[in-house]
Amino acid sequence: MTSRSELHDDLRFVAAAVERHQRGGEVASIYVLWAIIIAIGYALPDFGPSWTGRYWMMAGPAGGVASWLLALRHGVQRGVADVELGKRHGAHWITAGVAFTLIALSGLVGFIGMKQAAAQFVLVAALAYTYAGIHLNRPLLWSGAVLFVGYAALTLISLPYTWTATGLLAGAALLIAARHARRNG
Amino acid sequence: MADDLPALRLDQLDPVLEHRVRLAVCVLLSRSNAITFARFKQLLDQTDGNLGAQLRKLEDAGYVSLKRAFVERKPTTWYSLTPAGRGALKRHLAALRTLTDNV
Repeated sequence: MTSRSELHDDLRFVAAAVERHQRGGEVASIYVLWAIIIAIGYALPDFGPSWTGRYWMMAGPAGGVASWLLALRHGVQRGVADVELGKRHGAHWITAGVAFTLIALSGLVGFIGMKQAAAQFVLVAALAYTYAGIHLNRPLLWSGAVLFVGYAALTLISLPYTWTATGLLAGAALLIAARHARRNG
Repeated sequence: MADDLPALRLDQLDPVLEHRVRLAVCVLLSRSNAITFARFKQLLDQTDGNLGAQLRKLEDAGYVSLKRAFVERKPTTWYSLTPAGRGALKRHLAALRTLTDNV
């Protein structure tokens, strides 16, 4: 006959399996990819302004497709297919992408200065990463925190090479997330 | 026996899902669209024989469906929860919740 202790043992067994299942879902290579894309892309306004627009028109969509392929490959290798989770990731990052595009357009038409645009990029990135950390990938919470600190530093202290500093900050935050993802994987 | 659970409430449990491995398989599949045999083996720490037997029972009950494919030239079996399996799991978990709330 099933006893109370057997039932609790069974539930503990199931809970442990679910906990193991949740670990290792992060794709560190995606974080590294975007750390590189962002570090280069944010440095361009300081060192090669004429290339910035063309770079982002190519690197943005290409990075998105590459991320999707990397996530798909990771899922197949891990033996897990999760369409709903993929859709949630897609919706989250596409929304962030729309916000980044609108900031870029505001800067390009002169509605806001490039320095303000850089700060807004960091603030939107901080929000996007923090919400991703809360709802999708826990390691991104660290990146969000780093970016909030970065936003405060960028707005309160006038840094030279603001874009480059922003890119390096965002890249470093992503590398922190990649390190956490590798450790959990 | 003081440790026994009330028989009436146990009747509400699904016998197919009373086995911890079968319950874990269904719970995991309710959280992902499909999971491979190899992944289940890692997560549940079962032998091929035992895991295969439990998955077969779930398949026979119509709770899981399987699809065979090749991943990097290796044959891979993907399992998914059927609508019948999802319904059975929902009812079983509700009965379990009633039990655990009252013991």
